[in-house]
Amino acid sequence: MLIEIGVRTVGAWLVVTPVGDLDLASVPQLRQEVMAGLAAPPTADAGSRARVDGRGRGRDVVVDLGSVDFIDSVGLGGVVAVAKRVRGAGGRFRVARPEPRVWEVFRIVGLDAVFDCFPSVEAATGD
Amino acid sequence: MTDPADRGAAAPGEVVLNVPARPEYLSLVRQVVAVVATAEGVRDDRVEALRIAVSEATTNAMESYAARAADRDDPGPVGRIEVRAVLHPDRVVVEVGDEAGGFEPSAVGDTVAPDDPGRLDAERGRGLALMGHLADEWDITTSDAGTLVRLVVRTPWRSPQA
Repeated sequence: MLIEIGVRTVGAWLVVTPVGDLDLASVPQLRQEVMAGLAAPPTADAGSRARVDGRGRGRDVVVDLGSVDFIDSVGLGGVVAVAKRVRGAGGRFRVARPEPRVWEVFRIVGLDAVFDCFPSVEAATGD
Repeated sequence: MTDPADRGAAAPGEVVLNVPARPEYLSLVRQVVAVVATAEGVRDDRVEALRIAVSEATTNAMESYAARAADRDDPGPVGRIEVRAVLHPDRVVVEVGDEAGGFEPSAVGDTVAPDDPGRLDAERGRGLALMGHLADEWDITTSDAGTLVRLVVRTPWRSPQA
């Protein structure tokens, strides 16, 4: 395993926290962990599950970038792939608490404008 | 602009790293280049730019080897990538060389502009854009033998007091 990727449930949200660098070495692992997390049944309380199922759509996902030290174009592509998968299934996709130098890389290629970015995981999972 | 194997040992002011073309070595390449630039007093924001640009160039080399192996349907021996950082009084030059048989620039695929309405769908095509934005100069020389990417980051150095 190249990097640690935390996957947990906060309410109706799946929160994915990669720790380290997002690049050619770690993106396959990110995709794999997210797909596995989406395939698993929600472990949230019954109320959350009912809300998710009641909407008849895929799960909502936050990628928590707070522990990402580095991202390059392949890492950006990995985040895009996750966003497409989540939104394609009808879920919401958000990112949370990127370091300024990491968010700058999103900005350079115009991805800052297409992702909803929140200052904390709590804020991102608040509704 | 010579074959990596012919370039010989590092001259003073150079740091040379030769690694297998495996993704696991990417972070090492970035780290070595960042340490060299930091040790020589390059300002942090330019070190960060260099880290990303070098990561893009090295990733391209790794993917060139992977594409060649796929074309041949034979992984063969793991290719090598040589990274050479040269410190000048006013700039850092990093060369990333492979022997993956070169590539057709037209085969690189479309690049994604920052204002492309379809940019959310694109999972690839941002490497050259990032390299172009972050390096002050860059060029690619490709031949049947391999590819050499040359990145130049002009320095604002840290002030001695910083």
